[in-house]
This record gives sequence, structure tokens and C-alpha cells, in this order.
Amino acid sequence: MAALIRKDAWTLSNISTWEPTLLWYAKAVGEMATRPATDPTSWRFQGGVHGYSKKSDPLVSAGPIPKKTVTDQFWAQCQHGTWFFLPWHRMYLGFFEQIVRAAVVKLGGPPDWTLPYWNYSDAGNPNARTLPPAFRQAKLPDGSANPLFTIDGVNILRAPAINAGNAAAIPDRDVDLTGCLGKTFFSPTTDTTVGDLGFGGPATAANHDAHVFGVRSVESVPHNAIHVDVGGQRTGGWMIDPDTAALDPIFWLHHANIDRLWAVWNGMSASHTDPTVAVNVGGRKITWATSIKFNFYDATGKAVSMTPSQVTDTTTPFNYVYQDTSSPLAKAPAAALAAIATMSKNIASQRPKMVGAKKNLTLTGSPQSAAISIQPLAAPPKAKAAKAKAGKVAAAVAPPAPLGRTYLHVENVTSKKANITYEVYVNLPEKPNAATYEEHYAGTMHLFGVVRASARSARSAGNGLSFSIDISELIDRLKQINNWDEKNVRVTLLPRAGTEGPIGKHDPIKIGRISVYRA
Amino acid sequence: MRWNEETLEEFRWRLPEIWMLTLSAAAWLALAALAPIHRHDAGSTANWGHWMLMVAAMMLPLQIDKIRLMVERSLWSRRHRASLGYLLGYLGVWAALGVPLAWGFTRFHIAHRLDWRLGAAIGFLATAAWLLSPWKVVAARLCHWVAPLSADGWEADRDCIFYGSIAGCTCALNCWPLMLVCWLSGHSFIAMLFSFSVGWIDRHFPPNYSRNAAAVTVLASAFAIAGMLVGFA
Repeated sequence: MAALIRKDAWTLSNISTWEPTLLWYAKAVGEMATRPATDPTSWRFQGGVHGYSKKSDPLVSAGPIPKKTVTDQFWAQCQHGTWFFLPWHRMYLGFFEQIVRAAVVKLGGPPDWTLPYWNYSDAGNPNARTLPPAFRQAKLPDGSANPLFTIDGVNILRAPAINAGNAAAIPDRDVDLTGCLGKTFFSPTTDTTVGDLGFGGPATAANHDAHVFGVRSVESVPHNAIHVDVGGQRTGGWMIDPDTAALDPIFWLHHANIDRLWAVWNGMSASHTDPTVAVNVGGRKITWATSIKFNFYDATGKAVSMTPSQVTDTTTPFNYVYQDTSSPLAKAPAAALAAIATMSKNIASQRPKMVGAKKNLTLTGSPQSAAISIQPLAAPPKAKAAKAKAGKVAAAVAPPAPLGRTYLHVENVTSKKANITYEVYVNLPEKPNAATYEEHYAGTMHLFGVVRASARSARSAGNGLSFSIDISELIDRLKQINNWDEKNVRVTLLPRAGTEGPIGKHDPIKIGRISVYRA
Repeated sequence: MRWNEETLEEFRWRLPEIWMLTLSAAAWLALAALAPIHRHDAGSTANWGHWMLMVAAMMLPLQIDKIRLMVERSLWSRRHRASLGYLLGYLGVWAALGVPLAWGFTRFHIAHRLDWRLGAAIGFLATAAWLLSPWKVVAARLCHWVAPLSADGWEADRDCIFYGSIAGCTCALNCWPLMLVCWLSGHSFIAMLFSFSVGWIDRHFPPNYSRNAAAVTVLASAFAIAGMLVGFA
């Protein structure tokens, strides 16, 4: 059977708000929502697979959840801040699509139904950043409640501007793909959580609660950014919390797009391969493809487990392709690609070294700055010894040349309530204008999942979120304008106001440390 | 593995752990040498010294990853100093715990009242029960807590010692049954080897507490049978 095609939701919406693929999706969601949460093919069960907390469950009154032996094995399994982020969500979507398709068929719909994707980065579509209209209608064409807007009689909580179809609710930076698609490797080949963490995230063991993000990985932008924008940093909607995100039907179209971007990145260059190197993580050799099995239920209600090696190709076992997997980035010449491949190998295997840090910062809505003094990166004693014995030591054991990369690491960001997005700037002038903001911009911290990652529990040490930002090019820019002094690097964090209005005083967001690393 | 730049880089990064492992190896050698002549009635101070040797031998290798993490989060030039601070905090907790345990060991003549095999069997049964308890999962998670570290100066030393002491507390919470085996078995070298193996597997293999508990129960049974056979003989 030919592979089924996952289509662009906006292409479908441009045909009609209730183009059949979207209408059948709505009807199937409604059908799944009628099933008890103990049924693995129910809407609540599928939502719980991503994450669950009774405290934040908006559908808690809809009935009991499955027994603990089931939830322990199948619920709250989502993988974030890890190289398993992409494969786990591909499996999750694959089984979900099968379950929805079975519901569509049961309701009399087409047997080749596929999950659409929301391409909010589509530069050719002026509506790309607005929520497709089917998700904003209160009613279906037949006048009944729209399950893409209301589940079990509960309105899906989103940022008001998102439900109003306001494109400004999603800033340009949040859908910019040049950062993630510009990555030249999937994951580091060491277990470092600092530095360039690649397209797909750091090498870790299975990781549900502790998150380290490279701010230009696909998981940060657009993934985390869209979660925060749709949920609303002040609204605190369903999409902003991993424990409720998958209850919003737009979650699945968002993740179909993230899954598509993986296919896009794979197709951009022969060197854009999935991880093959086993990495020593916490004393365990972990091979991305085969070391860890993840548990799901399929459309027949049968428990299944899978490894990433089984989902590297979208056509097996889930049998789908995307309508568009062309790269939105311009193609680089072959010689440049070869040079990038060599450099990326070095960067992927790097272990950046800490050269300066500032502890403890609390964000409550006003700009905050930290001054950091960078210390020279001394050569390790072994390297010195090797240099001293240069005549006797083979050239092959000479210390590797520094890569000249500098990273800002914002560590242990924790919060009990606040999800406010902060932008990070370096050496920002006291009275900045629009141009200087752009000039000094380092990256954005989207705090998707920060509340859960901050809580100490049987599954989490409560370390919060950490963000690794490559500031090498920013430093070059600052040097050109004579605004770079290694002894006095000022890092400023500014809350990002959005369509929800200005950011006032909010519950504290604590930062354990801001540090600078060099490789 | 090819001896190339990456190998050298990897080796350099592992260096801070190597001297800690050397300390552990020295403790193992000392314990092996002391095993035939170790006297349980030598007094609380001697028993406390033996306790610390056991901690150094068994627990330090389980801290490799934490030391690596801490080195990665410290200034490169301070990596050994940071490791030392961590170790001071970490061993300080075990040293404090060892005081009442060494006193109790001496006061209640544990080694004379209980055959070492039966003591080990009881210790391993407690280990199995701990592995199956819900608190083990919590304790294991707490081990992953990360403390923010200052970059330099006395604040950095203080933070490393603090981080080490927190790690010592969570490690003691997590690994207390392993030390209980050593305590109840009258500091038996053989029981120690098995106990250390259990800790190593627990730390370095995919977490499967029920499987590990089953294996430890078999171990407990083997020690119990050996103890009873010796008793009958």
C-alpha cells in the first residue's frame, strides 16, 4: 500500500474550514472523548501518555483514571530535553493516528485518514501563524459542540489571541527555522549537556522530567515556543503544561509539524543522519537507536513497545509521508557542506569548559542582569605536558585546537507557577533601541514544562530547566562595535510582552546559575 | 579504542575521577590486607576507621558520574580542588553516620552474636525489601539533584562541600542497605564484594528494581543456607 500523505492543515483550511480531513478529526476527537479514561484509545488516556497530574487535569470530573500499574507503565512518558524527544513523539503520533483513523472509520469516514500538520513557519502563507479556523469554531457544521474547541463540555484553554486568530500571538522568532535546520548534527557524541546540543537534543537516558535545551534545537524553536504561545504565558492554557498539552487537539498537529521538520532536516544533507554512536550516559552506554524501549497502546488496545530504530523512516511501520519536506533554507554549495561536516564532527564531540559564572538570580517581571567575569581557558596539565614533550610525542596526541565556541548556559530555571518567556541579551546598553535589541540578542527561554520540572517527586529531582545558548557569533558582532570585555560580561534577561498585555509582577522564576562555557 | 585526539580529550576529562578511583582501590587493598587480621573488639575508633575504609572502597566508585558533572560545572583550573571539596562533604556525612554505627557495632558485639553469613543474608533481605519499596524510587531521584556552584573563591569551595554533603545524604538514603550488609556481616570482605556489586549494577544498568530485588533475594538465600550449613556443621 502506498504511503499515506499527512497534509498541511492550512492548505486544507484554504479549501474550507471544515475540509473533510479536519471535520473527521473533530468527529473522531469527539468520539474518543466519550470513551472512559481507562480505555487506551480514549482521548484522556492518550493525553495521559504525554503527561498527567491530577492537580492540573481539566477533565478530572469526567471519571476515574486507569489503575496505577497501567499509569506507571504507560502514562507520563513524554521525552523532553533529550535525543529521544523526536523518536518518542513520532511513535506517540503514529499510534495516535492509527487510533483516530479507527475512530474515523467507525464513524463512516475514509480509511486513509491522516493527521494534518500545522506549518506555522510557512513564509508563503500569510495566515500560517494563526490557528487553523476549525480549531476556533465553537460549533461543528451540524450545530453540535466542536471537539476541537470544547472537550467534554470544557472549553480548551488557550491564549485569547490564539483563539481570536491573531497572528501576532506567535512572534516571528518563535517560528524561525534557521536555527534548528541550520544544525549540522543530530546530537553531541558525548553526554555533555552544555554547548551545541544539535538538532535533536542532548544524549541522555530516558528523560521525562529533567530538561536541558539547546535554544536553537528543534525542541526549543519552534516546539517549546509554540507550546507557550498557544497556551499563553499568562493564561496558563493547556498547551503550556506537558501534563495537559496533549488534551488540546492542536497539540497533535503541532507535533506532526515537528515530526515533519525531522524529515526535512534528514533530507537536507547526506550528513544529516540520526545518531549512531553509543554514548556513555551516567555510567551506561546508551545507543540512541536500540537501547531504550518505549511503551504504547495501538489502535486495537494492545500494548506494544518500540525503539527509535523502528521509526527512523516514516514509511515503516506507520506508513506515511509529508506533503512537503522541502527545506525552507537555501541550499549550500557542496564545498561549504563538506567544511561544515568536518566542523560539526568536532563540535559534536566537544566538552566545553566552564570559564565564568554568576549564581542565583530571581525574575519577577522586571529586567535582571548578571555580571560575569570570564577567566582564560588554561590548557589542561596533560596538554601542557604533551606540548613540552612535543619532540617526543607523536603529533596524533597533540591537544585538540580550541574550536573558538562560547556558550551561555542558564541553569536550573525553576518556578512554582510562572511560565513567563524571557529573552536573553548580552551587554545590552542601558537605553536600548530596536536596533540594539536585535544586535545584543542571544536567545529566548521558553519555559514549557518549567513548573513540573521544578517539582521534586518520585520521578524528578526538581532541577528545573536549563538552556544552552551559542553566543560565538554574538561575541564577534560585539567585538566589532567595541562592546566586549572578557572581565565584564553583562547578561540581561527581559520578560517578553505579548498579545496578553504587559508583563507585571509575577511569581518568582529562580535561576540557579548563569555560566559561560568555552570549547 | 584508537589513541587519537578524542581519546586524549576523553582521558583528560576522566582524570578527576581517576584519583578518586585510586583512593577507592587503595581502600579495597587495605581491606583485603586487613581481612585476615581484623579484630572486631579493637574498639569503636578502630571500627570507625574500618567503616570509613569500607565507605571509600564501596561508595566512591559510585560517585564517578557526580564528580564528572561537578568538574564540568567548575572552572577547569579548579577541577581537583572542586573534587576535593565535594569529597570532603560527601565523606563527612558518612563519617558522621559511622560514629554511632561503630559504637553500636562494638557495644553490641554484632560480630560475635551473629554468624557473618546470616548477617549478610539479613542485610541482603533488607536490600531486596528496600529495592521494592516506593521510597527507593524517590531516593534514587533525589540523587540527581544538582546544586548551583559559584565560579571561584571561597564561595566555590563552600558550594562544592555543600554539594558533596547533600550528595552524601542522598547517597546514604539510597545505599544504606549496602552498608547494612557490611555492618551486619561483621565487616566481611566477601559480603562487601557482593554488596558493592549490587550497588554497581543498581547504578549502571537500566533501573529494574523488581529484577534486582529478585537477584538480591537469591543472594540472601545463598548466604542464609551457607550460614545454616556452617551452623549445623
